[in-house]
Amino acid sequence: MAVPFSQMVTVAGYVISQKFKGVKRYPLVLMLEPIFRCNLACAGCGKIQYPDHVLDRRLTPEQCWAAAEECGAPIVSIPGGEPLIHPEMADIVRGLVQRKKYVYVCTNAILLERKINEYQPSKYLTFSIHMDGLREEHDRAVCRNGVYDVAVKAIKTALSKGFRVNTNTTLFNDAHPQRVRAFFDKMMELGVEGMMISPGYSYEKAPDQNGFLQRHRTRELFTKLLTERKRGWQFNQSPLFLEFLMGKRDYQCTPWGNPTYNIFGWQKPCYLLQDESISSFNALLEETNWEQYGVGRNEKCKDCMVHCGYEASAIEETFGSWSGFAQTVKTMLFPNAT
Amino acid sequence: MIEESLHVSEETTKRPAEDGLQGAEFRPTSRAELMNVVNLAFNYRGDVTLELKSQETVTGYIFNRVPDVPHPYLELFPLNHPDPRTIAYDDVQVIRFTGDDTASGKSWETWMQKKQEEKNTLPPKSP
Repeated sequence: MAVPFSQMVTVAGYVISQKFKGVKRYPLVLMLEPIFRCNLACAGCGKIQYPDHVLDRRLTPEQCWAAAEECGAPIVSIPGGEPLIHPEMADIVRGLVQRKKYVYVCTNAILLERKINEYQPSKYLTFSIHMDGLREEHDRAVCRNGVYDVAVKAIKTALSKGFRVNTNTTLFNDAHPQRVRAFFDKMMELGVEGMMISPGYSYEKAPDQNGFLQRHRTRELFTKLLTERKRGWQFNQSPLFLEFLMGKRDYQCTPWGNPTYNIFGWQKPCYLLQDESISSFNALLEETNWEQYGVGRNEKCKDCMVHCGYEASAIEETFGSWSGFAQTVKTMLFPNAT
Repeated sequence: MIEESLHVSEETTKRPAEDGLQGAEFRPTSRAELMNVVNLAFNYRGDVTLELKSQETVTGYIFNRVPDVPHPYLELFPLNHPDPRTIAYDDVQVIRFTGDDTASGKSWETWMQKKQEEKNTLPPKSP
């Protein structure tokens, strides 16, 4: 299993309890962005283009913990920026783990070896390492030579110290299916717990505006990647979401599934779009006109098939009916069945 | 490139020579113009300078704007102050795009050029 049983039980229990309580919209993963400053400037990233005085601002540990409690999601993902630049990141993580949140620190791993002794291995803590492919593809994507090798070394160190480690891969229209499949082999060979994959979002502010996948190209690419997948590949994702990427099933976005909190407040409507900042999580849920967002409803959502919008849709199908649950189990056990 | 949604009369606008908002100045004369310019400023990834009707000048990064309420307002991180500031639309007289547009860099093109040069210096592969 890519994800520990206890985590699966926690998430399943949480979703079922929300359904039992009749909650229509509930968060699954808090996207916590305590800092936007990064030590890379990746081609497909539109998250870090701010003036220096904004990049110097960061959330305090107390703000992070309060956001996690206010939101209530069982999982907290910490992207950025580069979280390990934040001088209080270890404190933030410690506090979240104490609250029994499953924390994913999304890092490019450049600082990981230097900072790893500030962290304690725990079933609640995973280092999610940004890896966009094998050496050539990854270094090109992050616009710096040598980062792949640094990340591989950091992965080995983190694994040797007993940490949970997975990889987080964003794919663009230059992805070559055979090379990406070889990359999956390599990551599993390193011993990571699982891999997360997603097409990139068409950020308006990203440096490279020509690399984003359109919807039909996403389906073509992921079909080539995931058909006849090897048994050893572990994906730290909903199997139904992977089928969605392959075009085997269709979903509408669930933007409230991964709410985002950062130095601006609660970001409306989702991790990728910044239409407004809102002061409370409840206001975000209640005051947002969710019907304005999603494919077919909003031009900015047209090509989006990113996990922060659609994993929650897949989870909703899993727990929405017995047939959805059966489909999920079947897809987990027999991923290559058509 | 200046977004298509910009509808501000030419006589109230000073635009920079190059295509872009950096260096532009807007002096809206109607509520609709003000709404449009604040939207542009909100989507701009650089600092702006607001000249208020009180004659005060505020420079900072606009991270939020709330136009659909009885008294629309924007929120800004001032350049030299830790706390965010809220400013009513009604108080704004001039908006200048004074800071660098951090999203208009050429980092990607520079990087690709470097990679191409690296490739060009590699010895040709033997057949």
